[in-house]
Amino acid sequence: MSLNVVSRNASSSIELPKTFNYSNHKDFKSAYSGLLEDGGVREVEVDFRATSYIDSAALGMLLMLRSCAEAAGKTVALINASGTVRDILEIAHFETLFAFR
Amino acid sequence: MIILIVVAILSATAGLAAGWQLAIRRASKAATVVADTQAIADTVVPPRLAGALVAAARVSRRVEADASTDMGRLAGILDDTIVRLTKHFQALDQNHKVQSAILQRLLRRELDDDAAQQVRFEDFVNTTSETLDIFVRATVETSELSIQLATLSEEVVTKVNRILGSLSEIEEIAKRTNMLALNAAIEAARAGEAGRGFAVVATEVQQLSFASRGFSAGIRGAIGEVVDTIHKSDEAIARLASRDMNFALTSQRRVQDFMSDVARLNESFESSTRELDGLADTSSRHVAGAITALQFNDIATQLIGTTCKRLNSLQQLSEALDGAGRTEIDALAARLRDIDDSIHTHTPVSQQSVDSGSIEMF
Repeated sequence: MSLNVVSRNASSSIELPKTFNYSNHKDFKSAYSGLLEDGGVREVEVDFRATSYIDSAALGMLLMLRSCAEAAGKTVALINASGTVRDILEIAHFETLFAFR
Repeated sequence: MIILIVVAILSATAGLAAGWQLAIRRASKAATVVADTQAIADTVVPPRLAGALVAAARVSRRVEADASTDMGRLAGILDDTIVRLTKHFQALDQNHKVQSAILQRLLRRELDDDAAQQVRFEDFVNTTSETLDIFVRATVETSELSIQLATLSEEVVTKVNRILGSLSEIEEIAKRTNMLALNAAIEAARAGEAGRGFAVVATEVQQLSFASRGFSAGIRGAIGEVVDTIHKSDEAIARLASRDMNFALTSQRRVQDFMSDVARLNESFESSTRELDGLADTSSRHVAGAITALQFNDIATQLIGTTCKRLNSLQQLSEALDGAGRTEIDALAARLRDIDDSIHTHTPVSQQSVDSGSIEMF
């Protein structure tokens, strides 16, 4: 259930757990807060590689990340989302709000 | 007497002679008749053949008459049947055209309805999708706001903890004030009478310290309740923020399934329509073919007419044969009658024997 933050050059990834929901919101907030404060990070990647379930709280957290990133002049990309997770992201029209990879 | 006898003999002789002559004449006549008959038989038509001709002509006439009657009846039946069949087929064709028109109208209306229904379906699907979008957006916004609330409530907790820290300092001050009051009371007791007034002040200060500690405890209790409430509201916020999103996926799939069902239904309806159209065309052609085929009536009537004419010719032939036969027989009969007459003309019709009657003179 833990979140890993993997940093590369200009982008850093937050690797999400198998189930991403409200119980992760404090960890998630602290993870992205740290990255947004980092002047060397231009883009925050949210990695869904291991994730097979998300709920509305996950979507809410992503939207909060987006507004905070915009305020900090950075971008957010959602990567490796597939299956039901990808369907849920699309049904919420997140492809118009985030870069998908 | 003798003369009488002679006369009688003479007369008898003469009569005998006359009889002989008659006999000879008859024989000669008979010979002539035989010869004549033979001649007729040889030169004209043999009487049996003439009879056969007449009989054959009779049979032939009867057969021809029967055949003509049958032909007439056949022509009548053919005409009647064909007229009726044609009428039925025309009625069938008419019905079929009406049926086709009704079908076309139905199909057209059905297609128009179908188009309208398609529009309604699309509207329905669009509305459903829009509703789903609104609902999804609302759910996500609620979650976002809930998480913002949770963040705010975390800040509240942080601030409350700061208040609790300040409260601890106040309690420390109260504790130290109490200690100060205690020390003052001790010093006042040591000063005796002179410190009596100071002892009163020390007691008051201690009272204030107790009061302060009481307020602090009250505030701490109240803050504890606030923190409990915040925890409860956090739980509510967590429930508010956490909505399973599969409902949206299920709804979306249902709408998609529904649309593909509608599309399949439309396709099947269109193919049935095409099939019906094809059948209508084929039936039309068959009925037209049947009506055309019934026009063989003319040819059949003409054939019957020709056959009747031929039978009529046969009739004439029969008449001719009959005529020929009868003419010959009549001629023969006439000849025989002539011969008979000629025989009877030279024969004393009343004479029964040579002894009686008078001598016939030739």
